[in-house]
Amino acid sequence: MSKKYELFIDSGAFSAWSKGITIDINEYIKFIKKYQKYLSYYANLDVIGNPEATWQNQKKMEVSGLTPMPCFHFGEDIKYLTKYYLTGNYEYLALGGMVGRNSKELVEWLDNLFSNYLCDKQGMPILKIHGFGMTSFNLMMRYPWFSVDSTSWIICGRMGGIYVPQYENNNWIYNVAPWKIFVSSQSPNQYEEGKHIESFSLNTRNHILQYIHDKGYKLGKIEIKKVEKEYKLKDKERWINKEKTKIEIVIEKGLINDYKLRDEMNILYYLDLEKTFPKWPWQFKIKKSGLGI
Amino acid sequence: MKIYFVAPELFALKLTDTILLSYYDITISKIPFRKISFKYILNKRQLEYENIFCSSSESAL
Repeated sequence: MSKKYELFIDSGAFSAWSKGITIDINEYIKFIKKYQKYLSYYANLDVIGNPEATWQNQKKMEVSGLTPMPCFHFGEDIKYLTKYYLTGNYEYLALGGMVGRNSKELVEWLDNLFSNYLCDKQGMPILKIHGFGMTSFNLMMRYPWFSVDSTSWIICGRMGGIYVPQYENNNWIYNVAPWKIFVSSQSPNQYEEGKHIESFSLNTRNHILQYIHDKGYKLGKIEIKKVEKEYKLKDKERWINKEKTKIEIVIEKGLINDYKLRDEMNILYYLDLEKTFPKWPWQFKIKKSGLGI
Repeated sequence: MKIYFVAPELFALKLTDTILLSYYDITISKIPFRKISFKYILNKRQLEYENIFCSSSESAL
């Protein structure tokens, strides 16, 4: 059966800016127009550190006939946020510039926005808000986002980890931050207690294994072998040290030896998490007690 | 709350259908798999909207 993908295009201005590349607004407009019918949403071309230029790009894209999602960034003058919503033209707005900021400053910024600008007096959101690069579980739970995007599932998997929901009264629970469990056979912290699957108590390890099996995955098996100099790798083998004296042989494919399977597990975690969120819109109330942020 | 998955490779597209890709990645950056994912999604969407009767013969991921 064919899938109906929802494709959201971001300009990638931050990545480009961090590499010293400037994205041409006319090229971006041309690109969006070419593929517009396949896109669910597309963002304005933001100019890092220059909200006025970002605003001008918004207007330029609109004049060309497009309807980009406006983006307001951490640290920008609040007048630009009000400028967007005072037009009454936008029902969906993105918040960005949060990557690399610590939780404390983000909570302060977002509490202010959601309590004074983005929600009504009862705390109900007046706009759909997208959180660009919203990787913090606690921040995802704290605010009535309409949508977020996250790279956490990739980063966790590529670092050798999987997300596992916490376990309580025979249930997997999704309203608290998950455990990040390292499973890779190459993980540098595999002997550190409470981080790698091999370092947990038998009971906890069994819970983790149960979750892995429930999702239809396996840990997998490997064998480590010392080899002679000039050894040539065969199928299912890889070097595990710089000196090229030891190899890992995959006996059974699984989470410990395949990042793609870890990525899949992490996507499944986020899909399950998504199902547990209250239906939008929901009331925002500032939580004074921290949430461990 | 809807979660958009950033820049998945083809193997991951079988699990999720809410994807975020960036213009920079698709057109300028040298990371190939994001371009491949973009083309794949476009292809799927085009089939769905313009040639719905072909959907059963599409190759599975």
